[in-house]
Amino acid sequence: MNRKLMEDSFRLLQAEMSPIAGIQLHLSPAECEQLFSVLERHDLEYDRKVHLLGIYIILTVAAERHMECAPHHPDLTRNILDGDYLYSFYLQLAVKYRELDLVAYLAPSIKKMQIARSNGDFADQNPAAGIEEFLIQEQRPQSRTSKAI
Amino acid sequence: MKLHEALNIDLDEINHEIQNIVARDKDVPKKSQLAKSILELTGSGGKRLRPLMVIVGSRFGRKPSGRRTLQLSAAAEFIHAASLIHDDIIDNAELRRGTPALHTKTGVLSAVHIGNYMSARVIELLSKYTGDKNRYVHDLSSVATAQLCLGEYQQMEHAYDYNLTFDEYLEKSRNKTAMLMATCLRVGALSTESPEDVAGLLYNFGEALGMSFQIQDDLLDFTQSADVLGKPAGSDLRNGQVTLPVLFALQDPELAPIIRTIGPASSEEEVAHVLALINRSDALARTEEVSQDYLDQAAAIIQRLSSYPAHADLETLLQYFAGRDR
Repeated sequence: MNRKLMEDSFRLLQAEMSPIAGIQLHLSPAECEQLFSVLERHDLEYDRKVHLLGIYIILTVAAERHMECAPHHPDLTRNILDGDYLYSFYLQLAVKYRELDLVAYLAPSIKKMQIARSNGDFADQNPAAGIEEFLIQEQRPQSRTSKAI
Repeated sequence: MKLHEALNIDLDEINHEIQNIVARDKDVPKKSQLAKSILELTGSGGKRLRPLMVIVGSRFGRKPSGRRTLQLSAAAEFIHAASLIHDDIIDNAELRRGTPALHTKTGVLSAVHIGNYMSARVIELLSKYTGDKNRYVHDLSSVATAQLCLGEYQQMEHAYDYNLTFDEYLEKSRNKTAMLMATCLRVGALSTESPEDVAGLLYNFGEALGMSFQIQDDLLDFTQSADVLGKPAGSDLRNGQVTLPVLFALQDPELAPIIRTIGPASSEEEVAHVLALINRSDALARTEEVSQDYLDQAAAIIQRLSSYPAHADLETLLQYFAGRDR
């Protein structure tokens, strides 16, 4: 099941990303494991799981590419552009698949991660935890979602 | 008269809003390197063209502009400034607006993440506008920024590519420069609930202005001194950027083989020689004509919006862009 989910997510991302960027997304099943566990704990439609995994992959790869921005690195330019493109693509995808409430929920933690990294604090920050917190909050009866508006 | 004065826009209010984006972030200590670096960069000048375009766009709406328009105008500058931080790393530029580029002070990895913070902060601020009808507030951070990256990829892909076509050049310029300006006018208009067709016309106007702006920028690299440019004249050619004057010059059978010799290993003398040859050809005049074509397209759009009093502000923008090189 998880393998199909991964394949469908990667297929979606490669179809939606501009070929001009030429980004090849590589993430192992092990790297997706934390989000698989989250998705299994929540009763979500399959398509939404594909979108959420797609968002998780983009955020993970964007952060990875920007962590590889060492001076004189032969791929410095590409790493900067890939990270920049993926962060903007993340928002495009969220708008298209109506996940802007998730974007709003994750925004402070993504921002804090950038602050920490600009200060030399490179502790691992996995977006799966934030996505899980959002899903729990979304399932509370009083929560608002863009789908409901 | 300065552009913001001609447009009757309070630039201090915009500058204050830009500074507040970081100054009011409770997650950023006031004396941190991040806060200081961003305040220095955003306070170091710049024409604020993009914020001004947001405000002008807002004058075409059915409602008066308010807090949201002001935030969007500041966001436009913030996004632009973030892109400059990353551009300077990519270009290995030491100076920005006459002072050391941010990455030379903080290191590359830190600077990359300071730029990221700026983008993430904009998303955080604008996320408070929820609901389908407000999705446009993210256009600056999503579509326009993605297109900007695509323009950079295209520029990287075509370095020293003397077989670049005119269409490829125009597409790269549209992505790299014009679409952000177009989006500024459009989101400004939507922030005051303008009709969608008017927002679309403003987008087209901004795109035409942006194209002319980029082409003029390419021309300035040939015609202005290093002092005016803030970088050595001829930097584009030296860095392998095949701009419109070069494309026109390549159509000259005598010039083409000489231009094609320019590569990453070319000496300063070789580059200077080719620059002089291009300057003496008709390439610059032909480039100017293309720029003027885009300004004419923009002027035609103003005519279609002439029932709006704010069309006079579009005329002011047009005149500013037309006179930018003189």
